[in-house]
Amino acid sequence: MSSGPTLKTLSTIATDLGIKMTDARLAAAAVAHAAFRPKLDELRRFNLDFLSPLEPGHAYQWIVSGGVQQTDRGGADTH
Amino acid sequence: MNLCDLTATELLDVFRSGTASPVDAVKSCLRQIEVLDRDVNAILTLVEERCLEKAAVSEQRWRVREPRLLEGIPFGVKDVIQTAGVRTTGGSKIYGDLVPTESAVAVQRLEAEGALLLAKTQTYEFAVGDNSHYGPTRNPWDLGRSTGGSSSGSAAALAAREMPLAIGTDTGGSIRIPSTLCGVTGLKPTFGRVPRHGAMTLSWTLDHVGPMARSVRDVALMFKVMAGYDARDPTSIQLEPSHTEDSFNVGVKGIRLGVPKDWFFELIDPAVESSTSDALAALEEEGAELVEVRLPNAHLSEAIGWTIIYAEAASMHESTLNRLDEYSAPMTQEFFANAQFVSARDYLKALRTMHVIQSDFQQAFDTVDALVVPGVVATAPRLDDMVFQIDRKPFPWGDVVARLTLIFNIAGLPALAVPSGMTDAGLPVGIQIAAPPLREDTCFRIGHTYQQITSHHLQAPPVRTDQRLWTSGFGTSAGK
Repeated sequence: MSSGPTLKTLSTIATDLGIKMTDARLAAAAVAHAAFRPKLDELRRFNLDFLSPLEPGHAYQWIVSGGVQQTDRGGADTH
Repeated sequence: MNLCDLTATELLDVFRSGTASPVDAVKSCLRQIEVLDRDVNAILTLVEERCLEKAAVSEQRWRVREPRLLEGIPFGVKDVIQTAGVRTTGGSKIYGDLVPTESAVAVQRLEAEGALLLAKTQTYEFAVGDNSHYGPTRNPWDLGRSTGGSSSGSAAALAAREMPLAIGTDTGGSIRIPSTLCGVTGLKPTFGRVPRHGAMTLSWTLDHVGPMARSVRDVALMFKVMAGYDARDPTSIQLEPSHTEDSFNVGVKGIRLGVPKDWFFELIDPAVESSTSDALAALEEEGAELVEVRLPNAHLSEAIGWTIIYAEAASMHESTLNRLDEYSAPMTQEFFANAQFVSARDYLKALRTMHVIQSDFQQAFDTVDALVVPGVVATAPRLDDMVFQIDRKPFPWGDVVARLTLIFNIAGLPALAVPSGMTDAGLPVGIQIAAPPLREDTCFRIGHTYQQITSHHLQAPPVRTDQRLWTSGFGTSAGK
């Protein structure tokens, strides 16, 4: 479980992206990302299959097909 | 009964009978707006003159018996949706003077069937955050409370009887949340069903345009007009919608309703749970079969949804991200500040995991025809704190507002918000009815049956143009 990006990390990213943000706004963003981190960590821990990969396009394909399965089990990888 | 109190379907019957005209209906709505909207603040731009001119044309078409599907019905449009010749602000002062030359596809289609653009309605700034610059929209059931959002004005205007139809957009629940909190009916269609061309983008993966009204029948009528392929939306589906008229008057006997207990009922206020249980019991009484289903990966939905929304919103708004101070709303500023720090790996993981959620739904739909779940975790929060009270415990708005709605944006399923009752405090609660992709007709069938056997959708806030109960511009919770 990680704690989220530090203020210094966010500041470095913002500078690299050419984004100007006040220290207060960066600090608020750090707090928000720290609060979000447990949910994000759950997503990161969820394994997706390498040999039968899910791609972003599968979601739209499933919708257009009326909800017919595109993959055999939803993509989790137990390895 | 004033004309503004009628649904669109009822107004069409009145026009057909000749007892009142579209001009009469527009004037009735304008009168309601004049009296109530100082307090509610649902309207951002009124299109009075043009609407009355077009109402006169509609009146003539009724006279010569050449009405179109929505001839003479006034409607509102959330202000993130473009309207030719009428300013479209996105709820932001940045676009405060923007006057588009072309209307969004959804607006064009409604107008082509005779509907009359009456007003642009309030929205959270860029459909996320809040709406500080143009003032908060107040819930007609209690002016001290939020309408929810981001289709705030559309929901409030419908509840206040300022118009019978409105368009909203929904990225994580922005049609269904305000519909539920204001006691009106709203549909997030299947992803790709209603073209989004002309609507300001928040997240191209999760954005939907959809109809809002005061009955399922009206929502279905709007949907019939708005849905269908348009090449300018690359995700537009090239399939004709199923016949919505077939959804009515067939009841729910034999239909199997899934109830996913493991996510949707874990964190909701007892009043919402009780109302949802009552709704399920009422549908069971009509012959539906209730089946418990599981969505084992639903807990991932918020991480998937917010990661996608953050990343895509930051991309869409990259030209103004260095001008965050010009954004009007503090919550919108905060959102866009946070949005800039999503990694490509997390964004792509979220996109790839969408189908895992869909697979859960597909397994559920192997055994049921539709799902019935609560609409929002609790009743409308107070505007001055924006905190949900769940079983008397406080939860910040942003932490739980989309908990029950965002998952349907991720899966792309049609989800219909329907009022299911009032709490003891006089605040609306509601349910969602979700069906497999492209099966809006199933949502309509269940929702319409429910509205035939209940009267929750007919409840009106305690205000009238001739009996103004609000004395100070604040509702019952103000000053507490």
